[in-house]
Amino acid sequence: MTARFRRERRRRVTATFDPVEAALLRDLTGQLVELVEEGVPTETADPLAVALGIGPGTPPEDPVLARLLPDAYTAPGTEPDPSQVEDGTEFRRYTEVGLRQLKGNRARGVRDELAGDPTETVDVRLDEDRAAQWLTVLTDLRLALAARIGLRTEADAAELDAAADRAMADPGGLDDAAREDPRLGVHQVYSWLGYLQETLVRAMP
Amino acid sequence: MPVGWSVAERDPVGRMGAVTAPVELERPEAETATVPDVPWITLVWNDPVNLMSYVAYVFRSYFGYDRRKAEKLMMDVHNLGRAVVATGGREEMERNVEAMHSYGLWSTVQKADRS
Repeated sequence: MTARFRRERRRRVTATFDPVEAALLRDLTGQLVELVEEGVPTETADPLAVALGIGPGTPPEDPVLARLLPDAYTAPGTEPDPSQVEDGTEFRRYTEVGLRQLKGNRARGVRDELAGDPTETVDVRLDEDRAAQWLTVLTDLRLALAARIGLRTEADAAELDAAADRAMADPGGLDDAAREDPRLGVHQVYSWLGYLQETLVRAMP
Repeated sequence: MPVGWSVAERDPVGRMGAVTAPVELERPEAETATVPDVPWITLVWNDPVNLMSYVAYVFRSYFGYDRRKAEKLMMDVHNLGRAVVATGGREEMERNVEAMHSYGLWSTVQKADRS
C-alpha cells in the first residue's frame, strides 16, 4: 500500500488510492462512524438533555471509545480522587455527545470523498479545511486500530514493531505470521495509515 | 502569579481554535478582600500512536504557536511524558481539552499548583 499525499499548487493536497486502499479506507471510516454514533442518546427520559447534547457522563467501556474520548480530569495511568471523578463526569456530560458527532461527521466526510466504483482508483484533492479534517480522521482511525490490538504504551508499540519485522523476514511472510498473531494484519494497516498521515502533515498547505 | 496573558490568533486551518484576546484581571478594590484565582493548566500527554509531526501541527494550528514553540512543547510531551500547553481560567482550559480530544490527543485539565 503506497498511496501518499502530495502538495499541489493553489494550496491543495492530492493523493491517489488504488481500489484496495480506497476500499480499506471506506470500510474503516464506516466502522468508525458506527462506533462513535452508537450509544449517542436519542431517547431518554429527559428530551431537553438530548436536545442540548448532554450525555450521561459515564466513561465508555469500549477501549476504542475510551481512547477517543478520554477522561479530562484524570492523568493517564492514575487513580482519580472523588473530586476528579465528579469533574470528569461533568465534563463528559457536556462534551461527549458533541465530540462523537464531530468525529462521526468527519469520518463520514472522508468515507463520502472515497465513494465511487470499487474497481477504480480514487483521486482525492483537498483544500486546507478538508485536509485538516482528513488529518483528524486518520488519527482517530489509528487510535481505533491501536486500541483494538492492545497498543497502549511505547512498550506495546515496540513489541508489535518487532513482531512485524520478524514476520517480514520470515519466508512465509506476513500471511503466515498473521495466522498465528491476528494483530499483525491490523498492525500493517495501522502502519500504512501512519505513513499516509505523515505524508499529509508534511504536504499540508 | 500572572494577572494577564494572551493567546496567539487562530490559524485559518485550525477551526477548532477559540480565539481569546489578551485578558487582564481587574485589580481588586482595597476594601474587598478577594482570593486570587489559582490558574488552571491544560496538559497534553504522550501516547504511542500520535505522530510527532502531527502533535506539533496541532499546537501550531489550534493554539497558534509558532513552529519553534510547537516543536518544543511536542518534544516535551515526547521526552517528559507530558507538557503544559496552556494556562488560564478553568473554562478556557476545559475548552482546550475538548479541542485536543477532537484532534485525538490525550489531554487533561488541572489546577496549576496540583502536583
